[in-house]
Amino acid sequence: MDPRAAASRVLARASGRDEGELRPEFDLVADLGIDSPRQLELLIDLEEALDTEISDEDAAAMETVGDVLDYAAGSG
Amino acid sequence: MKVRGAALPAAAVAVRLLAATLTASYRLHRLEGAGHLDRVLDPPAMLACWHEQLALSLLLVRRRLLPAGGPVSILSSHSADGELAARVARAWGIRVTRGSASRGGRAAALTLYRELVKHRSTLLLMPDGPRGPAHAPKAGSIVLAAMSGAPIVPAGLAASRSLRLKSWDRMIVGAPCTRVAVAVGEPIVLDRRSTDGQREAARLELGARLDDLTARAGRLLS
Repeated sequence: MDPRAAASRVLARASGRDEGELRPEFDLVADLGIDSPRQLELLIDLEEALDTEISDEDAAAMETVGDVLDYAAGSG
Repeated sequence: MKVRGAALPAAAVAVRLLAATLTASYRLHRLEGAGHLDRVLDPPAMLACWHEQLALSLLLVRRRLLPAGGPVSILSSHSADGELAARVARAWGIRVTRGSASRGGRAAALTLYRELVKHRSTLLLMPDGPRGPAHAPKAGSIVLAAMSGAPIVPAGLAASRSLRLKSWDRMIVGAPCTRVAVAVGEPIVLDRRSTDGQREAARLELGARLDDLTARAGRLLS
């Protein structure tokens, strides 16, 4: 699966939204309500979907939907 | 300034050695629930106690966890207290992940997850740590259990002679050669399909069990 599509699916599951609703500028916390415990769940799901290990710096930098999708695109 | 700068590392080493020697002198007085503790020896698994009991819990690490041969991991904050705890833990051969909810929390929790799942580690879990508030389990502990499938085995520890530090958790430091009693309870097990409600119930149950087991450990000393 395309990494961006995989990440989009993970984001939809974490936020409870449809993939089509997700906009790159959406903040994970403020707009999607993905609190700290769910962020951990998202990162674990993302690692498994992309078959990669997310670095501390990359994990800390993911604040918006666009950040997550861009990371996925660059991980392929 | 040069003298002070040169003295600091030496002081840190001295404190680390003193702390490691002190915790090495603790004696296991009574252990209740040994069967539950065996579950921790089959990693991935988490052994949980309140953060105030961190120093006492090193007795269990030394006597039960490390002899089992698998890796043992712990989360330590970036604070000065956390640095000391990290140095003592490393001296014991424990793998240390640094982080807290306010600094690098996501990444630290992700590292702990990898420790559990990829390294099949036993995680020494302080669910109210690494920076409190005391006796309030954090939801991240429950997410770790749900995502990894690793059981949380709760334990309470008490020392016959001890003092409390003026840290956020009022950490218990046993006197040299103090007797330590341990009460271990039934594991809490979750999986990825668990609902938000089930996870919150598990978080509250973990806190209640740790309070109960801490009280039981105190009674074992009398």
